[in-house]
Amino acid sequence: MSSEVGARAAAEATRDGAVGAAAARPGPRSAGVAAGTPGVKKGATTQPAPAAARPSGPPVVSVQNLGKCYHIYNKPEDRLKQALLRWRGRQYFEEFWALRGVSFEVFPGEAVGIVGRNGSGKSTLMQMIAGTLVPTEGRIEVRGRVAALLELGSGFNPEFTGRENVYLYGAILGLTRRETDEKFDEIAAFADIGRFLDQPAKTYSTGMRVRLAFAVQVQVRPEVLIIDEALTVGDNLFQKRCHERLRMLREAGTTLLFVSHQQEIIRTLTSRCVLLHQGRLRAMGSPGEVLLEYRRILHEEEKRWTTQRLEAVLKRKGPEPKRDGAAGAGEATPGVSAVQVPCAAEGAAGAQAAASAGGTISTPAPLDMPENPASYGDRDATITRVELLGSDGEGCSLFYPGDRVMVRVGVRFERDIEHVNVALRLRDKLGVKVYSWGTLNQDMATWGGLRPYDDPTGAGGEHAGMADPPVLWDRSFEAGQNLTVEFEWICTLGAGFYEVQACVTHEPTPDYRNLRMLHWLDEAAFFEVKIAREEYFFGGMVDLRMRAAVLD
Amino acid sequence: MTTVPLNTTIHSAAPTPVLALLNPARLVRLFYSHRALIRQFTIREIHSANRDTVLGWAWVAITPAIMLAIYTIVFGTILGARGNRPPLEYALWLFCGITLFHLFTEPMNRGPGLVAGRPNFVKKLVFPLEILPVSAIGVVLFHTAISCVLLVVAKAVVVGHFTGWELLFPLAIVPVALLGLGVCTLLAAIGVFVRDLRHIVNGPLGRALFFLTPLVYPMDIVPERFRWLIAINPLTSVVQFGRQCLVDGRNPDGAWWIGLGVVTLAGLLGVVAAYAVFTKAKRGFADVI
Repeated sequence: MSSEVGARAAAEATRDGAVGAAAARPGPRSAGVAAGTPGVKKGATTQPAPAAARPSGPPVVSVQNLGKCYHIYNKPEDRLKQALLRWRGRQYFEEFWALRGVSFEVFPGEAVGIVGRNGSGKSTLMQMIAGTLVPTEGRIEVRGRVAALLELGSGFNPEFTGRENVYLYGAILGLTRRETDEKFDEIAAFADIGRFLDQPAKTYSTGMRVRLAFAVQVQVRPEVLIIDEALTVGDNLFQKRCHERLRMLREAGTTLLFVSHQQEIIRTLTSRCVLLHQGRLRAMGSPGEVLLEYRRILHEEEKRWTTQRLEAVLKRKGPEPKRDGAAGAGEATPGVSAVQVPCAAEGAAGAQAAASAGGTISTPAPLDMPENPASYGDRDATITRVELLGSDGEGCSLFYPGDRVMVRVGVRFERDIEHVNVALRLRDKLGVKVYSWGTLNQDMATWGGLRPYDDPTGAGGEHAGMADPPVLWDRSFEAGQNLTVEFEWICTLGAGFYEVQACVTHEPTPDYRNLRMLHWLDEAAFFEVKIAREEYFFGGMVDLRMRAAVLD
Repeated sequence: MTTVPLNTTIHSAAPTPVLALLNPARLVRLFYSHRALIRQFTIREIHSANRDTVLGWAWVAITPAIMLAIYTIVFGTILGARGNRPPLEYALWLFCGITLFHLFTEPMNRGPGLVAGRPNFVKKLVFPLEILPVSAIGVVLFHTAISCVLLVVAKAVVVGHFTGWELLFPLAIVPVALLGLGVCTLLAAIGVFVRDLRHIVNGPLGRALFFLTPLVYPMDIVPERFRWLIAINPLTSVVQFGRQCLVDGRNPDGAWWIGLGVVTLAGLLGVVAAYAVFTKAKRGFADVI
């Protein structure tokens, strides 16, 4: 099995897994998703057990086919008409389902993260569980006391002092005066706002208000604690203390429902995760997998936005002005039609149009890459394949630090062109760009007399002693010509899941300043890096190859 | 953590049965379980009224004193509504009526904005909104209590002696407080959906009530054909009852006794009905605020 297929299968498996989880509703116990990682090396097990052992007993929160519908009125008077003329059977509003068909259960002592884009229904869900919003359909059963940190400090009266507000807030949360008395010192110590405690709350900074509110809130020891983005306000020290406190509450049996956009917090704090997308439950399972799916959603939308912008820009510009390569063919193709190619199938059609218009290229071969919505570009060149290979030249998608990694990128030129660059970009699970390198980077280094690929220490012996590589930028290609570029490196990445993006660009000047995207491919391949603890390991996301010299 | 069996709360689209809403025991339980919160809210609000003012608590006496002086001069002397009562006694008589009147109109005026003006309490907190009208009544009852003390002092100064019938005055306070609570609760619920309510209540309705209650004029100067208009006003019998026992120091007329009983009963039913509406409407609060 080629590793390209393997990597794609991995991506597919995750996707299917997510769908499977959604389809498994309403039996959330079966929701732990295990996406197998193909191309396993060294016989290591694929994934850690996805979900921690779940406490037995009845669920503390049970959400059944929950839905919330809002009526959208276009004009204010429509609201009045609806209220008065309801019996006539006409609707003066449009329905908007903020949430629909959501079912899941949360068991005592669990910490469940809720992720999703803005407007995906997270807050609506939380508010319904807390009881401030009433469902339109379905039902929620909550066993025990619910405390919600929906917006910390919003119950404060700005005119009163912090001390008075503590008592007031305590009363709202159901504490008697004596109970608040007993806990006051602890509250004051946790909030740590010093002499401001006896100043009116209106003089407080946001952070101070949140600190005081949180300090009171966690005294209530609820069975279910809902935290909706509340803790992102405080400084790092306070956040750290909050998380310690949350951990303590959890150990004491409190069930946490946690909404945050900070994926790291979700990852470290929760044992299970729910992904909402456009009001629907899209995935449920271990935080790592659900976050990956979430990141995929973010990514898709970001890309859609980028593509749209690119189209808009190019439409404004009209036909591509900087087409110094294949002038005849370039002029013949309307700029717009060459640009509107968000997927490979249309890309092929575009190329065909170019071929018939310019008459310079033969009928293009069928594309090797399956249709990938994650691509864009002018398509004067097409990335036909991206393969991940291990040191043995076989397809591989699991590596250990020190392994040789090779990515083989196949490019086909759709028209005559020169000054091209083929590049890779690596991103981690959170979407952070880890590294990018292209043939032009190497060409520039070569022109500058640098040999970055030649490791002076000899540690990266694989590259040592190689001759200067030929410069790609100077070469020109004809339509229909194929090119293969092999990128090779020694894996120095930390444990994690990585994505490979590939692109081919046209660089009229050898400095990346006038870049024109010919074909950009997201999610061209995925690979995982694991660390074999018993052999060699380090912490963090990159192996800096440190050396410790021991001096007595 | 908790050894007692946990209460299961169910949030669903199914509406609460109307009969359960109309059960007075539900209200009693509700108020009792939140008594600490009601107390806190009432006390905070009483404090906040005069907080950070230079004269502080003196305002409790200054505002009614100025108002009384103006009313006495304008209505009593200029318009001649005081008849043959001496100016000071007219002021006492006026103050007595206005005290009871305010016990009703203060919560009424606050009603429309009571919930609508606190979006945080609706959306961000799990808060028993039902207690807000109760604490609004608590605040105005506190002010009424101060006025009662002032009334007793004023009577000692102006009239000089007590007959014992003055002790009936608290009987007049009960129905007004109940009416006020009911109206305040109802307006609080409707005010969330109909924002125009504030303008209606604070403007024309408040003015009309002021003049349709025999506050600044005695009942007997009203022409016969308009008497019914005054008489159907539930505040009329209460105000008359209160004045006859406190100012005149006599057993109130039988008509006012009956009126008082009817208004008390109506007040009780009104509170239960208003809370039924409130609880039902509450489900939609968060959708429109």
